[in-house]
Formats: sequence, C-alpha cells, structure tokens
Amino acid sequence: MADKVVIKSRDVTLLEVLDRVLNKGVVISGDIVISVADVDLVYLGLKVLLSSVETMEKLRGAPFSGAQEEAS
Amino acid sequence: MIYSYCVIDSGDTLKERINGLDGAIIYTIPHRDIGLVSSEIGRVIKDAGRTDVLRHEEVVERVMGRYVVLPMRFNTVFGTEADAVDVLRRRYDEFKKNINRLRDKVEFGVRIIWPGERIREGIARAHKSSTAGSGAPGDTPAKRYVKEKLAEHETQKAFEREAEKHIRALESILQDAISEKRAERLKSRDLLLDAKYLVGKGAARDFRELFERFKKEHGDFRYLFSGPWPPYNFVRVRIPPKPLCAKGGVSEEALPPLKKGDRGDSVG
Amino acid sequence: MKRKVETDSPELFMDELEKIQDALPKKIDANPKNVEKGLAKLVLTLVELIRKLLEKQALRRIEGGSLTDEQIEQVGETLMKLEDKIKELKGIFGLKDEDLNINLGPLGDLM
Repeated sequence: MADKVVIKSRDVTLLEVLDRVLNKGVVISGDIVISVADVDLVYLGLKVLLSSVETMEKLRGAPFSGAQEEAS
Repeated sequence: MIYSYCVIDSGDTLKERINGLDGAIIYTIPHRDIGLVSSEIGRVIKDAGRTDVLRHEEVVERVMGRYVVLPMRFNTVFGTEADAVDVLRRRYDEFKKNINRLRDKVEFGVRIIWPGERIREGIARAHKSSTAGSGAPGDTPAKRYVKEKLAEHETQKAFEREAEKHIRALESILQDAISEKRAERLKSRDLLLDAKYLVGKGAARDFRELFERFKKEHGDFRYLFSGPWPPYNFVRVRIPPKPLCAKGGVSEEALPPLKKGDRGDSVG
Repeated sequence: MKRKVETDSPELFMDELEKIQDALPKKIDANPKNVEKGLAKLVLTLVELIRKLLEKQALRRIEGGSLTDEQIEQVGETLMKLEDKIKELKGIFGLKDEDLNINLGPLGDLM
C-alpha cells in the first residue's frame, strides 16, 4: 500500500497531529463496525491501534526533513 | 462506507464545500440538532498514511471555524448512514453534553523538556556526600545493597519534588486562562511535562502570553507549544461495542462514565 | 485562528517523544520466530513488576523504621538475588531494561 511509505519525515507538526488524530477524539470500538460489515472490519477496528504504532516506527530512523516545514 | 470526521452542533447542510479523504465531498448526516460530518469512502484504510491523517485533521479544523466540533478518531468508518444515525441517536445526550462543555473552547499542547538527567545526577551527588560515611565497613553485601537502594529512592523523591515545583509554578501562572487540563509529568526524566489545556477562545491570547511569561522565567528549559487545536484530548465520548447477540445495548448503558484521567486510546 | 507548532528544538522533542513511544510497539509483532522471546518478555515483565513492588514496599518499611536489622539483611539479600537473576535472564533472552515494560494505554506505563 502506498501509504506505507508516505510517512517517513521527522516532522514535529505531523507528530502532533498524529498524537491527536490517531489516539484521541470520539472513540467507537471496532465491534460496531463488525456488526455492520463482518470480519474484515474487526480487523479494521483493531488496525487503528496498530497503525499508530507503525506510524511511529516509520517516523523513527528516517532522515530529518525539516520539522519547521509545515509549522506556519 | 462512510468515513467520519467529527460531530457538530448542527444538523444543517454544510455551507462550505470541503474535500475529505480521497477528494470526496464532505456532508452532514443529521440527527435532531447535531450532525456527523462525513464522506463516502470506497476502501479500507489499513495504515495511517500521512495524506489521510492530515486530511482528516484539516477537515475537522475547517469545520471548527463554523461549528462546535467533537473530533472523531481517525479511521472511524460506518457501514451505512443508518449505522451512523444509530450512533448519533443512541448517544445523543452524551454528544450534547460534550458539545456544551466544549463550545468556544480550543486545545493547546505544552511540552517541556528540562535537563532532568543532569538535575537528577546533581541530587544524587549531593545526597551521596551528605550521607558519606554512613556505610559501615562491616556491612554485608545485602546491607550495602539496601543502602544503595535507599539512596536511590531518596534521590527519586527529591527529583520528583523538584519537577513538581516547576509544574506548579507554570500552572499557577496559567490557571486563570485554562478551563481544563490533562497533564502527564516526567514521562521520561527529561520530559518534565506533557500537557494539554482546554482554553476558552476568548482566553487564547492570554494563555499564550502567560505561557511566554513562564518561558522567560525558565530560559534553560526547552518548549514545544502547539495550538489552537480542535479539542481532541477533551472529548469524553467513548462508545463501547454493541452487544453482539443481545439487542438493545443493556451492557453499554451500564458502563461507568469515562474518567477524566482516561486517555481513551484503547480499542476496547 | 491559525494553528501553530512552535519549538526551539524540534529534533530534541522528536527524539524524546519517540523514546516514549518505544514502550508500546514491537511486542504486537509476534511471529513464530520471536514467540519465545516474546513469552520471556511477558513473564520477566511481570516478575520485574513484582520485584519492584517488593522493593518499594521494603524501602518504605525500612524508612519507617519498622524492620529489625536482621530483617533488613534478609530482605536485602532476597531482593539482591532476585535482581541478579532477572538480569541474568534478560541477558539470555537479549532483553533490555526498557523491554520489560508494558504500556497499558489509559493506565500509563506499568513501571
């Protein structure tokens, strides 16, 4: 998936966004989605948690590319 | 499927044309006087990609200009509109309560790094020299071990007191500008504070200025200041799974309300 | 109102925040090759948690002056041996100190 390689810059603004968008806000557990559209979406629900982990993995180790870039 | 961005305090059609994920036009799914801002999505998002994450945030941010927003967590997808309405209907009171609490409020993030490692070493050294000679030559290894642990314990306590002192200084300065806070101290030795503050829109400027004042008084610390954000960290709605077999959602209503200190980031 | 992220040291914050994130990841990624290490990690984490709790409680009691010299000696020796043993096991399984922590989400880190 293309998204897998997209997040790789060490961007502090992006990190702040991720911190909120992935972990906070109104949380609806995955099962609601299950009851709607079957097994595939259980996976989707759980994946929300995993993706925040992976994103952090991707952020790490990649070359620093101007953290101020989007800070305006 | 329907991708959702936020709940707002209106069921009206959006006046602005905003593109959501994959360029789809966003629209409101109404229920009484609230609405779910959403857009059609034709794929399952398996990874949080930069583009999608930023787009999600951008949509919430733009809607925030006009309405009270309760941001949804990234990747909250409904099968059909009826499912979305079902959630709005079942949780209407909770959404309303949050909307009223968060009306005209924004969130700021404050992170402070201090030379914690160094400060702790200083405390440990001072402690060592003040207790030098307390180790008797006849001490067994076990006793020496206990004494070392005790010294470490003392050091840690003194270190935490020192951190507390600075955090209290900051919060006494900010106090008048903030309506709620979620603060974590010493997540690591150097990360003195990781805090989110809920601030009235009218007090946002004051908040900034007060924070600047603290910064000037503590020039040796490093700061990360961010905001204003939609109140991601202050939305207290967490909707547990619908009972899979039973109808009516009995267990869900019986669940205790979300605690204030709850970070709300588990998937249940 | 335009949002801003302001910092004098972006890299410093990136490093620090990533360090904290470390507690959470990795262990979710279980596969046949690392299952043994994963199990050792889980067990050692729990043992280490109990050891730390014991140590804390013991120090509190010593501070409070409610233990005799002999008791202190015994407690000290037990805790010391336990710590050595855990260190040894960590070495065997190639685990670091920071591996022996479980991020409990809303509850914060275990230790």
